[in-house]
Amino acid sequence: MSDPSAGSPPRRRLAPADRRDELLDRALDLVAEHGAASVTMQAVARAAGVARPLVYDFFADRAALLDALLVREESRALSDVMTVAPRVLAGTDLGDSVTTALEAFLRLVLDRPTTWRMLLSPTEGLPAEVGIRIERGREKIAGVVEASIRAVLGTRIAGLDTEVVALAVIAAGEAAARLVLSAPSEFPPARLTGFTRALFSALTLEPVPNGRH
Amino acid sequence: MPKPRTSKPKLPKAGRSRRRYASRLPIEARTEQLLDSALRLVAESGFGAVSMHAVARHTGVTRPVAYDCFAGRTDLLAALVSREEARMRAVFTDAAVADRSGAADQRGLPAETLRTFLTAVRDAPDTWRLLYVPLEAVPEESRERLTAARAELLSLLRTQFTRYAAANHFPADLDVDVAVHLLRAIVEMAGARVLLDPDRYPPDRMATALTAFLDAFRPARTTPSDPS
Repeated sequence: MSDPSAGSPPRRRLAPADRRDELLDRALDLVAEHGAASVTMQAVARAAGVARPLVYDFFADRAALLDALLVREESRALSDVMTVAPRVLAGTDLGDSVTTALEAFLRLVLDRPTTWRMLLSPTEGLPAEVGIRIERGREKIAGVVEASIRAVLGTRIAGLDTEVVALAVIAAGEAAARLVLSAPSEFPPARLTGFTRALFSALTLEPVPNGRH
Repeated sequence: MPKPRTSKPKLPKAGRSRRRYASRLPIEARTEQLLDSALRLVAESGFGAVSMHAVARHTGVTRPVAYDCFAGRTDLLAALVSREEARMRAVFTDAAVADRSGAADQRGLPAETLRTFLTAVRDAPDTWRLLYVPLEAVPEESRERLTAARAELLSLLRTQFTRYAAANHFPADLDVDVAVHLLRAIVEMAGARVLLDPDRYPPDRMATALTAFLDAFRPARTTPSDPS
C-alpha cells in the first residue's frame, strides 16, 4: 500500500461536482488574469494541477468549458441581483431608494469583478452565443426592475411606460458598473452614489392630481 | 465615284474598360454603390465578410470594376467607415439643432433631440449597427474611428444635460461626467432597441417614454443655485 503522504503533496480527491467547480474556478482566474482567449483545456488543467484528460472528463472542449463557466457565473450574478433588487422597494424617499440600490449593486459587481466584466463587456475571446445568453439574463432582471418601478412610481406618474423606463434604469446601472470596473480610481462607487443622491435631491416628483391615472 | 469609306470609328481605348460596367455609372456613383454593398455585408455578417470579391458580387459587377474604385479591401473598409462616421456625425448635429430650433420646452427636455436621433437610427439601421451591435472582426483602425463617433454623442449629451441642469436649478457641482456617461448608456440602449426590434420599440415610443419620465420630475428648488 502506498503512503499518500509521500512524494508530492497529495491532491485532494474531490467529488465530481466539486472538481468541476474547481476547474471552472481556475478558468475564471485565467479570464481575470489573461482574458478569455487564454482559457484552453491545457491551461485549465495546468492551473488546477491535474492531467488534461481529467478536464475532458467534464467538458467536451474549450467552447463547452467557457459556456459552462458563463452559465455558472451568470446564474451567480443573477441571484446576487435578485437579492438586492427588492430592497429598492423598502425606502420611501426615491433618491434614497435609488442610491441604496445602486450602492448594493456596485458592491456585488466589485465582489465578482471578472464575472461582471465578462457579462457587461463580452469580448471576442468568448463564444458567439454569449450575447444571447446575456440578453436573456437581462430580460429576467428587467422583469424585477420593472415590477419595482411600477410599485414605486406607477401610482405617482400617470401613463408611465414601465417597460422602457426599466430598460433605461438597467442601461444606466450597467454603465455605472462598467465605470467602476474599468476606471476604479476615477469612478469609485461613492462618486456614482453621490451623483444619484445629488440628482434626486435637486428634483422632486410632481404631485399627481386626484383621480388622474 | 467611290463612296468615301465610312468605316465604323474605332472605339476609344477607354471604352474598353467602360464596357465592364453593368450599367454605365460615373465612378463616384459606382463607389457609393460598392460601399452600400460593403455596409450590407458588414451588417449581415461582420467585417470578416467583406472582401473585394464579395463586394463586387453583391453589387453585380466584376472584380476589376471594384478595383477601379478601391485599391483593395483595406482601402474600401477605410472609405466605408469614414463615410458612415460622417453620416453619424451629421445625425448628431441634426439632433442637436432639433432642440435649438425652439422645439425644446423651457425645462430643457431633450424630446426632439431624442426623436431625431432614434428616427435616423430606424431609417439607416445598417449604419448604426456599426456602433450599437457587437460586430465580428472589426479592424483596429475602424474600431478607433467608431469609438470617436461614440465620443461625439457624449459631447452632444453634455450640451443637452448642461442646459437641462440650468433650467432645473441643479446644484452647480453636480457631476456632469457621471451624468453624461449614464445618459449615453440610456440613449444607446434606446438606439439598440430601435435597431433590433423597431416594431416593438419604435422611435416615438422610446422618445415619449423617456421624456415623459423626466417630465414627471420638477426642480426641488425654483431659484437658481448660488453661483458662488
